[in-house]
Amino acid sequence: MNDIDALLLGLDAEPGPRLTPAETARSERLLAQITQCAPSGLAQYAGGRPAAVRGRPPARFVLAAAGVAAAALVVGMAAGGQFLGHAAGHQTGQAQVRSGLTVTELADWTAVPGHPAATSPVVRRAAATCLASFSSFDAAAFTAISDVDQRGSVITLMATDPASGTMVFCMSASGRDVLSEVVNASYLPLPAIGAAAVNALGFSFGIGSGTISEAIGEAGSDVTGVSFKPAAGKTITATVQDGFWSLWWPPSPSNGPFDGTVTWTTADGASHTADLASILAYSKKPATGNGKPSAIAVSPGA
Amino acid sequence: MDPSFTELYRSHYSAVLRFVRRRVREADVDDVVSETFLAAWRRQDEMAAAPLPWLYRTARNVILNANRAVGRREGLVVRIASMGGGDPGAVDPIAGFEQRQDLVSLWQGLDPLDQEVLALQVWEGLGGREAAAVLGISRAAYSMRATRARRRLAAAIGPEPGDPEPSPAIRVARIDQEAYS
Repeated sequence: MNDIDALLLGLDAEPGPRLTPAETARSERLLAQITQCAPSGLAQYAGGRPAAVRGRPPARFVLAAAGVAAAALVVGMAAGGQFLGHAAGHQTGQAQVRSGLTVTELADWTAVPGHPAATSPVVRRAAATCLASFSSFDAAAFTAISDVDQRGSVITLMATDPASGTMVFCMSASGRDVLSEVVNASYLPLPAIGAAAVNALGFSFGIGSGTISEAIGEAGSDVTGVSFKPAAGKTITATVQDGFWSLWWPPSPSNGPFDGTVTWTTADGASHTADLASILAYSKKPATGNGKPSAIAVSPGA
Repeated sequence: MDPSFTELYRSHYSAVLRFVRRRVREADVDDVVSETFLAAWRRQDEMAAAPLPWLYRTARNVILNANRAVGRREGLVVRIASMGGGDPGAVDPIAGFEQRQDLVSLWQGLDPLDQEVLALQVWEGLGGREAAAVLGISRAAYSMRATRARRRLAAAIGPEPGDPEPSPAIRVARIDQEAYS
């Protein structure tokens, strides 16, 4: 070692190789979370659901949750371990972060959504942008728009083809398709659900700054409201309409914990709670309502 | 849990954590470390030969892309202990406060890539070939940059204490030390 190197050694900002007990605990938690993900392969939804993700921008992959009812962890990743997802926004001129949203769009997020009319120009534009990302669908056939949810300038909605029953979930912002997923199709039938129950058709948790987390589920006919409280973070009000609930949020902190509690109210005024992972519709161990055995019907073979 | 990945993770977590801490603010450290090991989990086949350089390179790319995402144009700057850093139990080779500040100023004046070239060798303890792999440059290009960066620092610092012709900066520092001793 020469003299310069010896001098520089004395300027090391992180000289101690040993982890503190807190750091060791944190590293083990991260290890457990990472190894819940599928080690390779393309996007699938949590709980072994058939590939249901379509039309995502190339900057974003969804990692499948390998275990039952585990979270899908969202990262922007490309070959070679390099990360993408920072192309300049076409509409706003702002850099997009890994979710495909801009920093401003994330900052404008609200825990309680607005509900613009399905016929409003901004919603029609959002639906058209999303449906254009599904090359195998006839966009003109998706005439039913529901579950419109607006948080800042970001709109999510469900679009349905009444003839086939095919339903997609869309997220768009400023004319950009951010996220689009098939919710119901002949090859991906919806599970049945009890009148007072809710389930989670899927959810994903973002890892890292600039990502988003999201959850979508079914709501029984007696369900009047749904909210979600992340394990770290404030309560988020879901949009509930026509038998579905949906919400999304910028995770904070952005490295987990990847869990939270769903609370739903029913027409009789009762309130019910369950961990998000426990109500995953495609889980083999569904549960609902205050930790008691599930009343959710699970699709055969799921 | 995959035993081979678990072993790799536990073997290298501390090194990656320190690598990241030297380069980003504390609030972003966990995010970068998480993304780095998540990438490692998904691309284990790429790391077989040299896991640590692969991890460092991936962490570096995560940081650079995050910087680009928020519009930071400057390169990745390697943080140093401006004062009171280093192993508290070790003998500080930079004896005086002013001398340390001189070196800190000189370090901060280096091109970010030159900082990285030196940091990979001195603090991450990599050999030339591994360090070149982290930066994605040839071994020859790495050696040239490393030599040039060391010469730049050496020229600015001047002769070592005790040598006949100390540089003005070092000489001022010694005078100040004598005044307070």
